[in-house]
Amino acid sequence: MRKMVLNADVQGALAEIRTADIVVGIPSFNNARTIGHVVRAVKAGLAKYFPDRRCVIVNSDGGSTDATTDIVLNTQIHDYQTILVQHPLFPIHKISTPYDGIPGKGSAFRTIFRIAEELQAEACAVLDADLRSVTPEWVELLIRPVLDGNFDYVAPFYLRHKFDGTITNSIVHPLTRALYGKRIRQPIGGDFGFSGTLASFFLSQDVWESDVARFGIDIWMTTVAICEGFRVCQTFLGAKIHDPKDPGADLEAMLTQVVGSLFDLMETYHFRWKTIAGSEVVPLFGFQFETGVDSVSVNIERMVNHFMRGLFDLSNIWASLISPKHMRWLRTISDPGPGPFHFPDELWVGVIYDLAVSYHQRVMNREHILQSLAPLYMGKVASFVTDNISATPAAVEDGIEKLCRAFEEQKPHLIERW
Amino acid sequence: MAPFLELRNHIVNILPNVFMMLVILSTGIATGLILRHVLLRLFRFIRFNEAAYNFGFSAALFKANFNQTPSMLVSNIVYGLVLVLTLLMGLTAINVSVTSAVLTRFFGWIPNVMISVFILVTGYLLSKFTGRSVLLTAVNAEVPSARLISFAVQVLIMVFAVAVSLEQLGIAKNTIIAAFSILFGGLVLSLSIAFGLGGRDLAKEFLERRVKRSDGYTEHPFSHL
Repeated sequence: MRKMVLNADVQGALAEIRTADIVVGIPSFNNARTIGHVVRAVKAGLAKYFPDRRCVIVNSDGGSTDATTDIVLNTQIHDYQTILVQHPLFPIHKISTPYDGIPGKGSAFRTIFRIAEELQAEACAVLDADLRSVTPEWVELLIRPVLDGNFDYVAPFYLRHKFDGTITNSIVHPLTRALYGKRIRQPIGGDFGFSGTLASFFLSQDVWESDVARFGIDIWMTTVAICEGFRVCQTFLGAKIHDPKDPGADLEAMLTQVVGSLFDLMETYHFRWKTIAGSEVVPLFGFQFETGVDSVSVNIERMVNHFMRGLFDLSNIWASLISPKHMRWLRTISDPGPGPFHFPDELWVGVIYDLAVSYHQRVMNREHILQSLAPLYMGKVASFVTDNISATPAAVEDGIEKLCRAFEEQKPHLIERW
Repeated sequence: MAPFLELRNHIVNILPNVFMMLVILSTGIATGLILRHVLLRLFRFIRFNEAAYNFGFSAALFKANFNQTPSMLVSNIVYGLVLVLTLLMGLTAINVSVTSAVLTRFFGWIPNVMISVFILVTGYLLSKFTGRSVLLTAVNAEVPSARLISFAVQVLIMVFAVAVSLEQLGIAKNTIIAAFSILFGGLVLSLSIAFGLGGRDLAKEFLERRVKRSDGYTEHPFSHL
């Protein structure tokens, strides 16, 4: 594995700074609209909660053509008193550098890990550059469990609309929980805290020329932290409001990337998840609260039609990937009679496990296996929305808990067939 | 008496060659049988039948009324080729000049046959893979008639592969080229007219959806991740 070399400007800055207690990384690409607010929130958070610590903010940029890097370097808090914060004891340094490697968030993180390692940082955090709801408190919530709680990895816990995060709710969270035995509610949240030790461990792994560098970094970090025996926890951050990364982002691409990363990690850590049964609670820090729920108008009929079209056009492909019992069940649910469309949890779990096994056994081209999941996912989302249209957030969480238990109960079948 | 003596001499002269031919034939048959047995074992070890099933070969054979498994079919083809080769070599042993000429042409033709088979197999695999890619993309893009589009793509690729394969074999070269050009050109023209006139509204709706997405409009009012 090629060791990462930092550019001369960064090396010069690091020689001047020498060491740091805390490094906060902000990966970016054309985020001029929002990054100023993020940098101000981080600076305020570091000044308010860690005034006696040496802190560095690192912006790892993917070649922005707007003024992102200039904004990072020029953003200041002119009057700390108006935000009820004292001046920090040590100046908060800022480094903005283009990252090296394959374009993607993972490569950006690698640069941040490298700088944290050079500075021998004790605690680190990474925040998205397009956050609009970030506050100074987020810095404390991500860093404090590492510094004072002796945790190595802090996953975020956001307050979300009950229909938000359907890929997380229906696949990533229950599958990660069932496989690795840890109940991390949002494994791919995007904003994390971690120790300097864990950052060095991430850096030592030979994944930086793979899909991890492109789009799989979030789930990879969470899975590695759990499977390699690091102490993990969660922290409640409140609502996450950010600029949509790409309003035209293709659902198929999102699903393919996330589920592909999950299935690849299953192969890497099969020796671990095969020995785990059940799951345990992961400590959650932060003051939890709830807010009112806005109603949204969802086109359920269109999602059901997408599923039906998949069943009609892709049944030959699905039959190669999914067990005959689950195929028959899929055909049964396609005709719900007078009642609403319903996609049972047990069937969904069976389908996901069937696809994971097919992916592992390379029954067909892996990209095709992942693409074939999209209509099934739309069917599950349609059923989820239908079942929870009038439900409270607490009731929705109960439903997700029920789904998680179904994943855990069917795990022995997955192990048998793997 | 002399003709009988001449016949006897001729038979005596040719006997060693006939004996040689029989040795070659029996060796060839034995080699063919051993090779078929080895291939069957090898195909079982590498799970060739499962791979052929996944690539759709088994289904294609079933539709063509071949009741043999793919591994048996390939092994039998190899066995047959060895037998034919052995027969020709055996006939060469008895010094029949026509046979020598046929043998020379046969050996010269084998590379073309192999390339032609390779083109057909590659074309078939490519058509299945591309057809499946098109089908999945069309279904996920909610394009109607996804199966028809996928089938059309597969047919186009196979027609192209068959045309190139026949051209490689040198069978009715000019006819094949002309027929392919007319068929392919006509098909493209028909599709252009059909989609251009008949699919205007569909194309408009599809493009409108793409433009709306790039303007920040999202089809779903919630975030999937």
